[in-house]
Amino acid sequence: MRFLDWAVVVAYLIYVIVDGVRMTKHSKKVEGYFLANRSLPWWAVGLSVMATQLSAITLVGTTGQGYADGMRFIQFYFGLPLAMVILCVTAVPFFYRAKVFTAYEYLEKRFDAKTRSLTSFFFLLSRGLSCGVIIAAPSVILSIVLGLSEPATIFAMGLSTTIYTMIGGVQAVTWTDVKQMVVIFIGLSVCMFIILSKFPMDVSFGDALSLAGSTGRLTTVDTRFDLNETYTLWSGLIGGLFLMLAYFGCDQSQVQRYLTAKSVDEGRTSLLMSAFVKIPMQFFILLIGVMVFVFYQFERPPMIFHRVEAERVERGARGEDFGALNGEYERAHEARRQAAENYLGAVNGGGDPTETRAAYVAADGKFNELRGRGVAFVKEASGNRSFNDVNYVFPTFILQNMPAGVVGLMIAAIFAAAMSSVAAELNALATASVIDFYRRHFKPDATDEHYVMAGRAATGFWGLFACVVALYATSLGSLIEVVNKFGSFFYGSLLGVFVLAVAVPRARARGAFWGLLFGIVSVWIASRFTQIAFLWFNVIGCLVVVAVGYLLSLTVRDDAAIVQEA
Amino acid sequence: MIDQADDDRSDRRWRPVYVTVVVYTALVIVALWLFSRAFTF
Repeated sequence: MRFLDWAVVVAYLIYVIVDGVRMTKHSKKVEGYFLANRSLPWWAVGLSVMATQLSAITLVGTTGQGYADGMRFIQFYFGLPLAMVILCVTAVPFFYRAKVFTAYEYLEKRFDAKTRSLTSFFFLLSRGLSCGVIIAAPSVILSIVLGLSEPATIFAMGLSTTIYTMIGGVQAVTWTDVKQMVVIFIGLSVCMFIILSKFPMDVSFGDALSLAGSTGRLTTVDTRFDLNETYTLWSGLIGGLFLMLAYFGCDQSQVQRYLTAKSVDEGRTSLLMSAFVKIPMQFFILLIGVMVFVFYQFERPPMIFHRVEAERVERGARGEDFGALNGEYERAHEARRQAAENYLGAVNGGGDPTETRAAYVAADGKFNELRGRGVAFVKEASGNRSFNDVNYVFPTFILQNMPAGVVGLMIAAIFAAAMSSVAAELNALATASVIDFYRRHFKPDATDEHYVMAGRAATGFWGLFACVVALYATSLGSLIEVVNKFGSFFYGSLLGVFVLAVAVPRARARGAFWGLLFGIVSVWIASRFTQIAFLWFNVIGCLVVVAVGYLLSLTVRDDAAIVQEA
Repeated sequence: MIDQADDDRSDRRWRPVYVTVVVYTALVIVALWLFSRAFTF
C-alpha cells in the first residue's frame, strides 16, 4: 500500500470513531442508549439493517465466490424479501407495540422468565462467539495483504468499533452504519468501473459476459431439488426463508435495528428496503467477482492467492515441484488467453463460435485443474486440510491492480463492512446482557444512568471477548464455515420458539423451553450424521421446536390465560 | 378498541405493498433465470 492509501484508511478509522463518539449526547438515558428513543428515520434504520448483514467476510467471500464459482450464491437470498413481508406482518408490530428492548423480553410476556433467559443465553453464546469470527476473518486476510500482524488488524478493527459503540450506543451504531454503507457503495462502484476500464481495448462488457457465461459462471438459478446441494432455487426460497426469518426476527442484532425506528410503519419500511435492494446488491457484488475472473483471462493471476502460504511452500522442501507446477499453470493461462481471444474473435466476427467456444471451455477446464492441483499441493505441503484461498482473490486483485487512493478506499470499505456488523452485534450483546440478565435477575430498580453505565461496561466486555475469540479463531481453518455452523445450530430453533409464541395459542412455557432444547439437539444430529446442506438446518430446527413444543404444551393442564399480545 | 382499529387500518394499508414485494421477488427470480439462460451455451 502506498502513502495515499494508508492516509485514506487512517482518515476513515479516525472519522468513524470521532463521529460515533459524538453521539454520546443522545445516549444519557437507557431508552436513548439502547433504542435511540425510538426516533430514527426508516432510511437510516434500513441502511443499518443492510450494513449489519453485510459483514466483511460476506463482501470479500462473495466476490471470491463470483470469481471461483460464479453467481449461484445469489440464490441464498431468494427467501429474504418474503421473510421481510412475514416479519412486517408479525415481528415488527409485535415487538414494537410490546415496548420491549430485546426480542427475548417478549417471550417472558408470552411464556415465562426461564424461556426468555434460555433463548437470550443461546443468543449471547452464538453471537458472542461468531462476533469474534466476524472480526477474525477479515483481520487474517488484511494482515496478509497489508503485511501487518494478525493481532494488529484484530485490535485495530475490534477495539475501534468497541470504543464508539461503547460510548455512543445504538445511535452511534446506526449513524456510522449509514456512513459505512455509503463507503461500501462508493468503493464497489469505483471498483467495478476500474475493472471494466482495465479490460483490453477490444473487449466489451458483452464480451466479458460471453466469456463468463461460457464457463457457467452466470448460472444464477438452479431448479434441481437436492437437499445435499447448498445453493438451489429451493434451498434459497425455503431454507433461506427460514434463515432470514430467524435472523431478522429473532436475532437481537437485527431486531434492535428496527426497534429504533420512529414508528411501526417506519420499522416496516426499513425492512422492506432490504427486500428491494438486497438481491440486486448481492448480484452486483457477485458480478464484480465474475468481472475479476474475466480480467484474469488477459492478465496472469497468481496460482495461489494466499501469498504468504505460497511463499512458504516455495521455500520448503518441495519448492522445486511447486515451481514446476507454477510453470505449467502459466502455460495453461497463456493457452486460455489465446483461446479466449479466438472465441471473442469468432463472436465479434459474425462466424459460428461453437468450435472456438469449446476450445476456450476446454482451456479453462485445464487451467482450473492446474489451479486445483496448486491448492491441493499447498494443502498437502502445509498440512492444512481446510486451506482455501478464495477469500484472498478480491483483496489481492485490489492491491495489485487498483490505483493509489482507490486501494485505500477499498480497504476502508472492507473495514466498514466488518465494523458495521461488529458494532451492531456488540450493541445487541450488551443490550441482551443488561436487559435480559442484569436488570431482570440482579438489579431491577437501578437508575437509567446506572443501566447506561452497565451497557457501556457490557459493550467493552463483549468487545474484548470478541477480540480474544478472534485471536483463537484464526487457527480454526475455514472461517466462513465456522460462522455458518454457529448460526445454523441456533437460528432455526430460536425461530421455532417465536413461531410458538406468535402463531400457536395453545403453546405453553414448558413446551417452548423443552422444544428449544430438542430443536438444537435435532440440528446437531442432522449436522453430525447426514449430508444435508446447512440452509435446511433452519427448517429442521424450527419444525422440531414447533412440533415438540406443541405436543408438550398439550400435556400442560393449566387454564391460564395466554397473553396474545403484550 | 381505537388502537386495535388503527392497527387494522394500518395493516390493510400495507397489503398492496406486500403484494408488490412478492411480485417483485418473482420477477427478479425470472429475470435472473432469463439472464442465466441468455449466457449459458
